Amino acid sequence: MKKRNLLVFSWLILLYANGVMYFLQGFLLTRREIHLKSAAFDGVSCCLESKYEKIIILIIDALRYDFLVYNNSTNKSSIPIYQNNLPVVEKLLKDNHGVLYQFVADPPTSTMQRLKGITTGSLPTFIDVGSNFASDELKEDNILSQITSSGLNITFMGDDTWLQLFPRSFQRAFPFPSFDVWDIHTVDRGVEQHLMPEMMKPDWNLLIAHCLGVDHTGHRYGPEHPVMPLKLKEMNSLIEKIVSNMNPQTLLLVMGDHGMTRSGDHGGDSPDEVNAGFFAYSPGWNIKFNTSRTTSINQVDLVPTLSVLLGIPIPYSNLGSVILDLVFPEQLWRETRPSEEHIMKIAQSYFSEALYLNTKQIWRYLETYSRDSSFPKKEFEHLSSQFDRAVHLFERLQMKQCSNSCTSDSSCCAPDEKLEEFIQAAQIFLTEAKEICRSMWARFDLTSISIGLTIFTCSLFLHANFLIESELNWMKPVKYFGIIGAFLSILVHSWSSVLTLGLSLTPVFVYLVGTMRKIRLQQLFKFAYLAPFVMAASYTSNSFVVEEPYVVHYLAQSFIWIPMFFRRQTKNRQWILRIALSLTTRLGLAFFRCREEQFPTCEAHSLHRSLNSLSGTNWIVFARVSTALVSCIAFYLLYKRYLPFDRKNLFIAMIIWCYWILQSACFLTDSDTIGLVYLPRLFYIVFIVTFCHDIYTFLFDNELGKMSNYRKKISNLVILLSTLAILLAGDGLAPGIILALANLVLFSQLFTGESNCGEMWPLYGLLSLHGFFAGGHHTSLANIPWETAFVGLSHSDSQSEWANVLPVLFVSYSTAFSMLLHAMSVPIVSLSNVTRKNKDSQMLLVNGWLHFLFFHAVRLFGCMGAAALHRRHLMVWKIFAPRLLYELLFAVYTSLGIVASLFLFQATM
Amino acid sequence: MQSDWPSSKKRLSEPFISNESIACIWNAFLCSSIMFWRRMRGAKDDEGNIFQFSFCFSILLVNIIFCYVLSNFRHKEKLQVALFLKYGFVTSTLVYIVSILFGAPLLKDWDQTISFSMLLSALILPSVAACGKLGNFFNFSCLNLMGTNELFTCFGAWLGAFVIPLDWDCSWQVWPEPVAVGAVLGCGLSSLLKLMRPAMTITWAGYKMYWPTNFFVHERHV
Repeated sequence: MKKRNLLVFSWLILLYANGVMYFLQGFLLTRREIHLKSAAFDGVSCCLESKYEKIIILIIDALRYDFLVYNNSTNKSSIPIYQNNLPVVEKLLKDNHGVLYQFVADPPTSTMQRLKGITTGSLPTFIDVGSNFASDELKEDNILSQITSSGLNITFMGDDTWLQLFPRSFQRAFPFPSFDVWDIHTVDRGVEQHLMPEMMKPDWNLLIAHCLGVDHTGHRYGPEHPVMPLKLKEMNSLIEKIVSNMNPQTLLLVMGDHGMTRSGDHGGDSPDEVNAGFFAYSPGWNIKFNTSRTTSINQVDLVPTLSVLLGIPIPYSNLGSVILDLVFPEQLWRETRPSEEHIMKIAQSYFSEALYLNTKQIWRYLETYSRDSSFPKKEFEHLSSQFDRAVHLFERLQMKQCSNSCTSDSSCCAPDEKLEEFIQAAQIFLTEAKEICRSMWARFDLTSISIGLTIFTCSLFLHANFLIESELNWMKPVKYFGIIGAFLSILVHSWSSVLTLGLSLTPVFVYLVGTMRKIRLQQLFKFAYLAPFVMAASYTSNSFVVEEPYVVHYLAQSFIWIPMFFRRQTKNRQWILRIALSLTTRLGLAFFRCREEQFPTCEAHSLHRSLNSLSGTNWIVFARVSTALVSCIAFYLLYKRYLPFDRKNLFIAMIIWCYWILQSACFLTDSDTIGLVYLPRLFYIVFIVTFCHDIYTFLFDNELGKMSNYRKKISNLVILLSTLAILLAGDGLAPGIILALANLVLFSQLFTGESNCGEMWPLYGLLSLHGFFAGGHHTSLANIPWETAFVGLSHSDSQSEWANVLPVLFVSYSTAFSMLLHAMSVPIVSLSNVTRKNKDSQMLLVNGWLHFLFFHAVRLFGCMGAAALHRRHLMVWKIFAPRLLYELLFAVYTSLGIVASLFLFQATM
Repeated sequence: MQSDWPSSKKRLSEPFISNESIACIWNAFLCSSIMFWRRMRGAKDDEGNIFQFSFCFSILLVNIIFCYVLSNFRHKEKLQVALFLKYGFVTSTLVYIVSILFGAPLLKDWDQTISFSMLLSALILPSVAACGKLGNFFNFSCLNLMGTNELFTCFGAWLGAFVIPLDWDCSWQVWPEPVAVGAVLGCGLSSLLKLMRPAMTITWAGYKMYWPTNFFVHERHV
């Protein structure tokens, strides 16, 4: 019996972990950021002579390639409505003053990731493992920081995402809000207003203007709506204005950061989304000589090209290769008018120098990256040989080449074939390096995703099977095999997918087939069991994820009240407890936090804010203090009445109160004492000592088999753990956590002696989620409680390697505390009126854990499915993927809580 | 399954049309005219939300008058006006509290919440009064006897709330309009179903089954 429980849970958790690992391997491709900077003197990236004084970059968000292409078909009706709206581009192309390229972006094609790509020249993935999640500021080496550190100036106007990424890089910035997708004019009007005056000023070297109108028109109406040509014509007149005010020393680059699909969205990797347009123009140009061979360039190629053009070092983690057509030295042609043959030679030597810089920079980056992170070995060796060959070729060139005197006389320069050879070798190296990195970082692995989902689905079936309680004696070896298989398949998951699937799923199928006959559908099905499935389905809709706290609250209230309609008789006690439970649940609503997407309609309550950050009137403080007092008294009474209470928890609570009082006193008097660090540390010491004591009593001081004893110890442990969460949450959110505890107590009272309630475990799961939201959390990356990371730690001692462990622990604990709490207190709920250990009571307990785990597993499956389904959705990196990450954290803490209380149960009984 | 349909002998002594049926017809008429009115108003101006205080209050009044007339002219049991007023007040308050509990804003839009609670109690009133449950309505246990009409009305309102979080940015997605519309639709639908009940009676294996009444609970017939 004992072993069976452990077997069941370890098998399930291993299987789930296996599925999730597979899924994440395909879905979340990670890349490590390297925070080194290129510098002019580091020997690798010293620069060429700058070619332009001024460069204007006009980014038209979601400017697809075919918006720029002129369609000269005679049949007017076959021309799509969005084409031929930029006549100025066509005119300049005809005059040989401009070039047009297909500008291929890398997925994910969301603006934030693309801006990172355009400025760093690398391939950002969803998780760039940097040192800091909290701010969006770009820490990697990028073209803007290189420009500013070379003493050049940047002026910026348009989309305010740039300011989040580069808060300190601009000498003048005119940001406009980008969030409202339905607002198609604000940003463009702002850009139009500021562009001309700024262009006339003499003090800038790079001018960035980012228009959002086309993108927002796409999101709102789609590309084939009559508004689109109007918007594009506005852009046309903007380009005309810029062009008419340019001098020969200026270069204009018009580009889209990504394209759009037929419905106007973007985010994925379909051809329509990745093929943006790129148009370059300079009045001094004549591309007659420069017979451009390529029609398509990569988005990352922009960074090295800009560096070469402005004469600055190439950013450290760039992966792009220089666009040779753009670095073509026309000024030579303008100044000296050499012959056509001659200019090609000079150009080639110029190209080879640029490519050499580029090659060395990329090689340095790859070396640094592969030193600390996994890099496929075979590919690395291949690249290494390519690099050696290119360098060798270049050095041979150098010997025959005379450097500066070549500008006028071509005879002393290296022969054509050698140059050609080097250029080819370098280009091969650059392309292959880019391809290898791309395959590593920027592609969803659909096989891996579907394997993960398959394993997860099968384990859900297995879990459902366990829930219906069908035990066959000969099945025990199957369970052993299952555990071993799942464990092995986690170990071998990098070898072959067939092997993993076989190892983990064969025992599952054997078990399912073996128990098939025993399943009774009526036992299986209760209406309330649909709750996790409904929630899982709701995760496929972004608005339900955004409004999830309210959905959870609504469902919880429904589960509290609806069963009352279907009861024949109800006792008064039931009514009172349900009203109380409903009230505490409703009160939790005051602690819900709003996320970015909700802002115009949702208003966060000032109850959240900690006393030391309140700047309100007296009555807010009064309300705060009174809610705190009321919740504390309620908490105390509840525990006095319904749960065995331990005095030493009061002492711990006193420490927390002292800390808060000290905190607000310091805030009011604007001073800083050492107590702010040492009181929490005192708390931690007491906490650890008490914790060890509790565990000790569990293991050695037991009266065997007495359920009430076990329940008492568990509730002591739960209260102890919640004090840590309360300390971390701060005085503002502490009542929210206390409400979650009160909910728990009321819940356990409500279902005392009620054996056949279908709504019990779904409601319990919903309450655990509600506790998460009532703790002031939300499932977006912006709402991660970073302020909890340094409670009781001073910033100065974050030097050592282990310094990150505690903050990470604190943040994750205060986030997913509710799951741990609810998983640990399953015994309190399910054993509330059981006095002695027997087979039935154990069944009840295991059943509770199984139900709770099932609730979260189904929802985790929903999140995974939604993320996989919407991997091309506009909001995937903003809504679905963060939701999945939070759900994973929940799953980890849930299984941790279950395993811990299961272990303690086994040890005690 | 035992049927509680009156035997043929008893049926003969009944009036040509029962109070319940009249209430159902009235409900169906009222709900369809509310929906029609909403449609007309919505076409005229964008504001659209017709469930304002005065509107809901007048519907409550109309229903109270209707039920008073119905019960006092066709029913053996004479009901006092005060009872109706008490019913209106208590039920509205109850619904108000329940909607707050279910997540309606506490202070903001309180007038909207009040109008919604009056609408809901008005919609439930005819069937409650016609079933003769009004007399002992304030007995707590009576909630167990929720009939089809009441269940459908509440269920419609419950379902209506699910469109509120969607990001379509429509003017009708704001509390309490979708919930009120759901309640009206549920009420109308259940009235129609109840009217069609004789036609939908299924005889199966010797048992008579009425749909949808005994899908949930047995309704008490007076």
